[in-house]
Amino acid sequence: MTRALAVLCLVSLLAACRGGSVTPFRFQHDAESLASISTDGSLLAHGIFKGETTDAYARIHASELGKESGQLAAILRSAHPRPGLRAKTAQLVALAQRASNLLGQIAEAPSDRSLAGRLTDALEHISSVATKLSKSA
Amino acid sequence: MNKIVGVALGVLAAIGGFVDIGDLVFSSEAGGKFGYQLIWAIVLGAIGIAVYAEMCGRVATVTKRPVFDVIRERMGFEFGLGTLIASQLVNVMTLIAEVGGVALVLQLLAGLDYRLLVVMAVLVLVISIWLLPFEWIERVYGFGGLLLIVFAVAALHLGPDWHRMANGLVPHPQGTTNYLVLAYFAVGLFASSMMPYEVFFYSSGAVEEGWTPESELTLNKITAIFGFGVGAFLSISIIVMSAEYFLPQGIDPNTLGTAALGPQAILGETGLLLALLGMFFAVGGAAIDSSFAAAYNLAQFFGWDWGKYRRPRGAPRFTLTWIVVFGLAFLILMTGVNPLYVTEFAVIFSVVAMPLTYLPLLLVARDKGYMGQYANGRLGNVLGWLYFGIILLVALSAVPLMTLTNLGQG
Repeated sequence: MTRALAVLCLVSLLAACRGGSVTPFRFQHDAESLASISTDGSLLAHGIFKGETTDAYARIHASELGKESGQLAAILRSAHPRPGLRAKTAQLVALAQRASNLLGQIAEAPSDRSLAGRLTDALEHISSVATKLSKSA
Repeated sequence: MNKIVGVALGVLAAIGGFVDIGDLVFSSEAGGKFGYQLIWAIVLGAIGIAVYAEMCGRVATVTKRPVFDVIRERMGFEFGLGTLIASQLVNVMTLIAEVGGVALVLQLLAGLDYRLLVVMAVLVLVISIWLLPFEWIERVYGFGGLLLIVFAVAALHLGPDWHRMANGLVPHPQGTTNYLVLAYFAVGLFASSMMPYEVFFYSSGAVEEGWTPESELTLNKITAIFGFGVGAFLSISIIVMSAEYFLPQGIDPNTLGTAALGPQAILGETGLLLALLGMFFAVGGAAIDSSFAAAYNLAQFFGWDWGKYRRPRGAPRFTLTWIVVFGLAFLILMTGVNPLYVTEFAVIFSVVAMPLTYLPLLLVARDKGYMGQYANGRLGNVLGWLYFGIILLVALSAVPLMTLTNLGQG
């Protein structure tokens, strides 16, 4: 019984620590990563819109970027932001999740040029908000 | 014709060694993070590998024995065994990274499942080695790797800043506060240029092709300088393209997919396909180099028959070794390990094996009793010792830098 409780406590502690704490340095780093991923995605979408890429490349690269963005959102969601960074971290999580969803749409329809045209701007917007957030940390 | 084949050997070693997955990752990221600032590290590495490749080609030509054979004889069994273990670990890690890299590139080309493409990558490489003669492996993978020249075309298209590029030839950090990350990437670029498997492959190739001092020593010099020079040129092109395209947009090009985005955005679909095909051949060539290096090392250390020129039946344990290391790489990749992480570990840990490889080579190459009139001249000795000092410095700093910078992530 005692052993089971100890294991439970350890598991709870590990779960609580999963994302670590969000310091200004880490927040800036994560916001820059999101800006990088979404700019990358935006350029990819622009390439699809102009018909200058291949379906296979677009699908795999969008899926790779989408996963990265989704992982960033998941880790930040389970992290503990410092008091002054709570609202900004929540905003960053929402942005990362949105970028992941948009990139997922590209991965599912890599030859849809009109969709890619719309998502180019949306991803660029996410990138510019993430850049502003990184500078505000 | 033999001379052309000889130069091809150098080009293959250079493309495979210089522009392997480690170099693609480090050059692309270094350009995206620090612009032109780290070009000097590539130039430093290129001169270093040319110096030591020339020495190992000369030793192999004069003594008719490849580097590993000489290490064991010169430094004794225990030292040789230590070098063998360190080199084999790095060779296998490198092979895992390269085969995984080939699968990643195939995935970007074909869009199929990654694990299926790991199977295909292993099959393509093993069948290439089995069916193609040594010269054709060189031609197909070495010259195919030259398609990476598309990065140079893309860089020129972007209009590089020649003044900043010239500044990048001299180490002086500008506009960065994170000196540790800068140092980590400098070490990574230098190390990826001087991976020990390159000299094992190069010297064994020289013995396999039956180089003789009378006709091949000049060719050896030309090959070392030209071959590794081409590799350095391609690496610098990747840095420049990354500095001009990714850095201003705040993109961290830390995947092969992002690295290929530059040529695509600048030159369209053709640029993308050439970049991916160039990566396929360069990384595939490096996979073959590293699998052969593992087989050469083991066979030469234990005195087995070895060589690609012999039929598999003529060198069964040598053949079995390269098949087994491919099998090992395959099994490890099927666990889902990320080849790009393995790449960084392979490059950084190769630094630890470097002094064990390059010191015996230098000692033999400068030994007049052993090499006679073909021993190192004054310039060869000065450069050899200078580079050995740099290698020691880099070997001492590589692992601490990797730990302190969290694999360059800051």
